[in-house]
Amino acid sequence: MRIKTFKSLLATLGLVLLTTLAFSNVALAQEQTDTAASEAMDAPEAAADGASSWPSADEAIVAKGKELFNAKCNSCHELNKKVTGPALANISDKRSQDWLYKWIRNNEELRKSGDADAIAIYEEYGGSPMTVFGNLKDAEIDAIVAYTKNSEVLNKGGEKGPEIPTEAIDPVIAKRVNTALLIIGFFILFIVVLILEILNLVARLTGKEIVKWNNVNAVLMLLFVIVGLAAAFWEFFEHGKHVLPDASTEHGAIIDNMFSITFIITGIVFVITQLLLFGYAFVYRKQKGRKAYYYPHNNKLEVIWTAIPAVVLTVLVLYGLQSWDYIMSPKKEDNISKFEIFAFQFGWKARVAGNDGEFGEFNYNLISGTNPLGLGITEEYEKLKTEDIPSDIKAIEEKIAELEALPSLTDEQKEELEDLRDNLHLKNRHLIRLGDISSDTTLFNEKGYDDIIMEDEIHLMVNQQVNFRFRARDVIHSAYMPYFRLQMNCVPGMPTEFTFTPTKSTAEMREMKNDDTWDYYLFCAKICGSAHYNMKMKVVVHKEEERAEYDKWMSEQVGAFAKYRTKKEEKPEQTADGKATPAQQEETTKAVALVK
Amino acid sequence: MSDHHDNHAHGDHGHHEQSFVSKYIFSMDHKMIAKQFLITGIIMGCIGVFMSVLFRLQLAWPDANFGILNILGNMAPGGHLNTDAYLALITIHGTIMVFYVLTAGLSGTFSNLLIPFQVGARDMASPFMNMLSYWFFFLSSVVLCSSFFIETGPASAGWTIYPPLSALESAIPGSGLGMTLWLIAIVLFIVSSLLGGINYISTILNMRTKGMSMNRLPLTIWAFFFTAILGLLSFPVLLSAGLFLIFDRSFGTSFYLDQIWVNGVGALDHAGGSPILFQHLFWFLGHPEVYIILLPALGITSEVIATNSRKPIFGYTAMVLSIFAIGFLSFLVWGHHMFVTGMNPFLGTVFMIITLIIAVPSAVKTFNYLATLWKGNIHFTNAMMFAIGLVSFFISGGLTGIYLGNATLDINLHDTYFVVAHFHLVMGSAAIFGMFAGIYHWFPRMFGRMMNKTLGYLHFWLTFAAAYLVFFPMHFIGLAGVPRRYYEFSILPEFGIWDDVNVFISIAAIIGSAAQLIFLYNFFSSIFRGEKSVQNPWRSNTLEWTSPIEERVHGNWYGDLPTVYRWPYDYSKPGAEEDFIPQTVPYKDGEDDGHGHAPVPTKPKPETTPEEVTSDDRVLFSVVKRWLGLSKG
Repeated sequence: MRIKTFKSLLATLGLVLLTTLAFSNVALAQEQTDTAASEAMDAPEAAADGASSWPSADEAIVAKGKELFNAKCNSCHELNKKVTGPALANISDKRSQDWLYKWIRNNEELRKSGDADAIAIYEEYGGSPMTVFGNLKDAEIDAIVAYTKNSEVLNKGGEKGPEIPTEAIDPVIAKRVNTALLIIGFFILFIVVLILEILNLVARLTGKEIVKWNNVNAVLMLLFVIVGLAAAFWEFFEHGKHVLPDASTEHGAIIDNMFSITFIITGIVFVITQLLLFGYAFVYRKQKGRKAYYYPHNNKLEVIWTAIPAVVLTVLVLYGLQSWDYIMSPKKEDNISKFEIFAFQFGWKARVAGNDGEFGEFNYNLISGTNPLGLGITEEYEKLKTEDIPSDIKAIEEKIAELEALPSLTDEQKEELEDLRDNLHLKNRHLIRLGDISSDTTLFNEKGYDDIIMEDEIHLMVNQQVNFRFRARDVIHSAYMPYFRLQMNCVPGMPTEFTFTPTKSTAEMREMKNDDTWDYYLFCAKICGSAHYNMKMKVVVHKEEERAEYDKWMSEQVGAFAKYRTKKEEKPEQTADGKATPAQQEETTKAVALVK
Repeated sequence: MSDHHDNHAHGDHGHHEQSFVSKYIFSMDHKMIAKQFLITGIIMGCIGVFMSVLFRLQLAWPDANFGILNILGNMAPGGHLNTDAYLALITIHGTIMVFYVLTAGLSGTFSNLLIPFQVGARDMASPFMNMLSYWFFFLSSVVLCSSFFIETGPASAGWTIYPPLSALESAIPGSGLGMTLWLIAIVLFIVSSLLGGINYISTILNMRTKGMSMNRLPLTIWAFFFTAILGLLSFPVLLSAGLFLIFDRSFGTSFYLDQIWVNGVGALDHAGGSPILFQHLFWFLGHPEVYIILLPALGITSEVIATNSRKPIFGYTAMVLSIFAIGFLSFLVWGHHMFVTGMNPFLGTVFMIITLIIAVPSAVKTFNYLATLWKGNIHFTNAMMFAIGLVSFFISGGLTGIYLGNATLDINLHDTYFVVAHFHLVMGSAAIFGMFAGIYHWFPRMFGRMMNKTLGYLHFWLTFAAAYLVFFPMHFIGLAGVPRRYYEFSILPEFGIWDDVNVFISIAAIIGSAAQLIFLYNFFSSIFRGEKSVQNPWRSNTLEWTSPIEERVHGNWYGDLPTVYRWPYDYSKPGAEEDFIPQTVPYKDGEDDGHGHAPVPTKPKPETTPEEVTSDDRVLFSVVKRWLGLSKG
């Protein structure tokens, strides 16, 4: 009967191995057909347009392109991999220059114009449209394309740090090696199981245990805690090197301090209790002739080990409360610089008040490709109300009419029709809401024209208090800056905020990290959709000596809607005269009204 | 009294033939329902663990293709997981493990098996509702799994399904039909859980046998009791949260939505809701849920540790009180999941205080376990080893709870791998180990056979080591600021330093998952070929070992129900011949109750004892008749 067990065991394992093999073969076959298929697909589209004049593979241009690619495209695109959007390597072989300009600057418009390629891409990627990059200049798009074509130019210079030259391993061989390792692993497991089965069988037949399992396990328990604690210590020193360094903000130091205290207390408790647990397990293992000590309760002990944790936790709670209060209700300084951080699928934008030192009002109904934050800009409003949405509605109605004219509808078409009707309803409602806000004087108070919208990076001054006000337009995001010990959710419809003071400049951190390319980043910590893992914005902290650089950067920023202003009021552009320095902003901070 | 018993028992039990369907499928026997819950739970567990292997492949080797991923079809074109599929996998992994394995699989199995046995009842208060409870659970599992076979894929907004992400189809493909199926599955699950919970509570309160006063209940029953109360009070809140979400998704309401503009659709019509409201409702269930998972595991551990240390559990009263304290406080701490949502900081202080207070009863439990082991005579049965493993995880994961419960520290640790490490140790691994301890311990009670103990040892050591190797390094990854739920870690070059660690974790996870094959083999082969068990294999005191172990019919104990004379933890009592005294053994003259007092005599059962449930198919008909108004009863 036992033999049967072995046979079935063998059979099961054989089956497992076969399946593994089968899978790996399928993988190989699959891979080959995939490459073939994708090559076949790409070929006819190549050289669609001969008239393009893409720039050469000049290293400077490619480098610029890489920078732009990482800032603008990387949250949804990779060079060689389909992610949220298509892989972009050698995109210029597939699309014409003119087409790419149009697509990148306003893909919505291109789709509406009935461009078949544009519509096909839109549909292939599940109907989630690409962000509109209306402000990218020709040269910038060219640089990005140059990078997608010639990214290898940069790799030679070793931008990513010293790249270890790896010998090319034939993927087929690698796969076979892996499969072999897997088989060997299973085989070892099988042997162990077999030995244990045999021992068990012998014990059952002879009535005597060959291995004293109780003692073996007791010793293993002891070994486990010793090796485990040693490994924990090793990891503490080894991996402890790579955890976050001391905080780069004022409040962060308090968090670090709180962490250290908690770490010491819990560390001690951890070691003692684990040692006791496994130590007791070893010491009090079953022994012949010993009877356990009947000891059902001792109220004094219970009181002691209720009281001690209670006291320790009280200390932690009190200290924690004090820190929390300090961090969450900070004293706001007069020269605080204010940013609005705006999160969306998938990226960040930041806004600072322009010359007037006041943030313009916003309304989510005003959001469009050219007004991503929905600021109260009359021209944008008019455009949305009289051009964009009506033309959308017209297009939808046409499509509905087209479908309705068909004699019979497939299921897919029925679904599409339903979606179109829903969409039409939404657009009509949107139009009504836009009508409702037409005379909202607070919304269109003209303060938004000079607001500066930053897309890729923001700059801060060291030791200068900063207030971030967070908004989101679609789903919940979470602005996370681990070096700053800062995290706050960005919730649609509910602005949140966080006030902090950076204490370490980027330069200082670079020196500490011994890495000239290092930067602070703000990224997303709340699951928000496909490209959640790839949503970041660079944050540069200037040291005191770099104030001029900071001022220069600030003065370079142009009000996002200043163009309307200049036309309308025939005023010169208001970018010069050292505007938007924190000192100027401070005067009017009180008037900032971000609330809807 | 005794006559009544005799008539009843001999009349109805032992001779009644059951059809295949009523015995194995629509069974109302708590033993069979327990097995159904267990086996469904094990299957769901395999699915959940397998998913974790799939996404660990992605996290360790983001650029590689794996043949095995082809089984996901268009979710992993060419053997490479796409981003939405990754999010779908983590979402369904979380949902399955939290609800289907650790709530229904753990609590459903052992509450059903042990409550009637350990309180000395023939069956549950309502076997019919008990059967419904299982079948709602089964239906729910099927609905959830079916979402893998739809075009847009399963729900992928994380197991916490925060709106607006979960509410907007255009925000992520999984929020289409997949999310609808998720919500339907959870609604069915809640119905199942409520049907079960009501039953557990009424059985424990009303159907205890003669002499089984509340202070003689084994700690398992106390744990199941509080668990059922927690579930009964918190699951309806999730139900309402889910219904509101269904309304928002399908009927144009705006409970959770306000001022939304979403790619591809534009400005939405919703106005005036709050996404944060959902989080309040969700975590009002979500936090008690953690204890719904953990308390049964702790109850099983108490029983297993006492039995196998051959010592009374230390501080029985303190153990009960700490379960009560944990259960009560668990309703007041949900906000610690929301410290950084922008919630009023004052609320943060309140939630922080109460959260850290929970550490006190948890510490008491830990110390009591240690005191129980102290000077014991420890038998390393498989169950005992898993129980010790649970205590170890409970310590490791519990201590990191002190970091996360502290709002100040949570600012930086929230939604990082530190959180992943924390809850996988304290709730995931600990509860799973509790479940394994229960399976190994009560396997003979369920199937009348023993599991292979050497395979059990191998299973334990591989799983135990793998769990620590997987989750311990994640603390450090979290402390480096790496957020959870990331498809790959390319966002910052400095995260690259953890690439090797991620590979290590994935290998450990694969080994740990493969070790479960040993368990599966052991479990299923032992059902049919395991060594026949003796009546009381662990020499335990509790009542379930007094009911004939080879019993295959509905209704426990052939004759009279047992009478209880003492508490369940009289192990190694001085003066006794054996190192255990079952609860059914009367006190000897001059024996004290173990606490230095004279024993409380077991009084004759009062006349008001509720009628025992005759538990066969006729119950079903009587219920149906009553519904149809055919019966006056």
